[in-house]
Amino acid sequence: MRTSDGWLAAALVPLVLLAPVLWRVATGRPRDRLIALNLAQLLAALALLLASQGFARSSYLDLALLLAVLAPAGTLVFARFVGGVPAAPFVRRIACAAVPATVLPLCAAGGVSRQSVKLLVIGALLVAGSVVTSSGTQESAEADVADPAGGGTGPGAAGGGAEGGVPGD
Amino acid sequence: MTRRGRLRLFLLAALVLAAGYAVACLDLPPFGGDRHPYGDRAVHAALARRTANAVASVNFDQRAMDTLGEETILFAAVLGAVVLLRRTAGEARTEPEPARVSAGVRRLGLALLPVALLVGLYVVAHGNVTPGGGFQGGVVVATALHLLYVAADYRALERIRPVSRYELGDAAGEFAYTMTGVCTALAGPAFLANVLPLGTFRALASAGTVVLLNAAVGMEVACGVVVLLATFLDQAVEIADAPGGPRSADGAPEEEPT
Amino acid sequence: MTDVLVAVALLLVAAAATAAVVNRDPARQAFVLSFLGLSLALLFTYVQAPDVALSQLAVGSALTPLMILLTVRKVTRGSAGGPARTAGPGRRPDRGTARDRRPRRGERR
Repeated sequence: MRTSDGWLAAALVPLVLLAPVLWRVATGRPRDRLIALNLAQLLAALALLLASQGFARSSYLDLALLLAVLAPAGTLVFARFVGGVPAAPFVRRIACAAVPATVLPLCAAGGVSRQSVKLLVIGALLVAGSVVTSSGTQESAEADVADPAGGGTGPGAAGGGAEGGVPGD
Repeated sequence: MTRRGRLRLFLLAALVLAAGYAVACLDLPPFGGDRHPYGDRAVHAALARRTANAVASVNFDQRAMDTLGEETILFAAVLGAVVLLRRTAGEARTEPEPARVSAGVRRLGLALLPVALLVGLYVVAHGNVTPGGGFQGGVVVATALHLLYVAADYRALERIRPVSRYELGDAAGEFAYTMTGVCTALAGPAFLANVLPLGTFRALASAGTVVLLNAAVGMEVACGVVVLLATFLDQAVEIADAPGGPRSADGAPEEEPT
Repeated sequence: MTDVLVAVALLLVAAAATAAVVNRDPARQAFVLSFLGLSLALLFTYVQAPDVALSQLAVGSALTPLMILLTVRKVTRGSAGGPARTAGPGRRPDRGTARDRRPRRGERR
């Protein structure tokens, strides 16, 4: 299997950056862990994109596509139980900078093809997912799982507040 | 049977198993190296049956019987969860409160839901060509549906998820897999043999029965995971102990553990 | 170069698994388990096993954390003495519908 060492070396960068993010995920308050996990998912997706080009197997793009679609779902699951999506401008900036910096050279390397369209879709999903899941919202009503001591006085007692979360709007 | 009798029976069976296992282990090829006789033959067979995804060929064609067993394991696990987590006599169902979700998150969830569904169906449909298949795609489809829970509300999820229909779908997937095997047994050489036309290499309609079995597994896994999550969600969001505390089997109130 | 990637991914998996074992609280452990799933998926990709990596990503990103956190919520609710202790997330006083045995309107549990 012919591999392209340049792209694989580039794939090493997000992989190595995952180590300090692991430290953040393993220690700290749940909100910080959530932000770190969000960043880890973004870095993993970028590592998969670069590895797909490095191993010259376009079928590995499906992995990045799956992660781009499921990572926001995972982050929202955690956010539901932590008490809202925490604001993380750091992650948002990294997403807006690193994703185009990865996707555009890959598109250039692949030329005009279906693969490039797939790359652009993956890139758009990654940016949209990362930006929205680091935008920050107010406390949700289910903040009692990760912080049983601190989340007990949330606004849930008022029921159906001003934030219109009721379906059927 | 007494307890000692059971123990003796177990020890006898364990002894026979240990002896057979030791003989088998001594006969294994050494670890590592360049010789992969099984792998070479499996890939050769996959290419001969025009299946681009060799793993799918092994899973759904060469060893389709094993995959039937694995699918049944998932089916049994979901069945076990449904039985264990059902609402019992001492529990009552309550209305869940609406969750507060920001408008941005809600929009992301509702935009991501059809995309995730499409990706899941794409992974299932292309199981014979690219990495993926029924299991992976089925899990993605089930997760996509639950985006409604995390990005909107539990009640929004309940609207699109009549659990009995998904239970039917789960059973239908399992049934379809078995029926495909029965049909191939009636039509040709053996249970779950590949009797459909093999098509063109790397085309969507290639590899014969792999496509059908992929679809059956995809349906079974998606519906099974939705039912599984439904039992968990019911317990965590809706069901609570009835007023007066938990009750024992005959309806008398039990004491609260301190 | 592939060997370097595989080695780094293996180290990351080992570190993440150790961190998962060291974190004892299930709700916090769920975060580390999700990260472990990500690093496992990367490792599987680098050893050229994309099907397994897909399975890992599919199951470990949203499904497993959801099941763990729902279980934790159910268990902590039960041990905390029921919904009266927490600030009502997911609960509401009964409205007296004719479904099961329910307290009369106005009676708090």
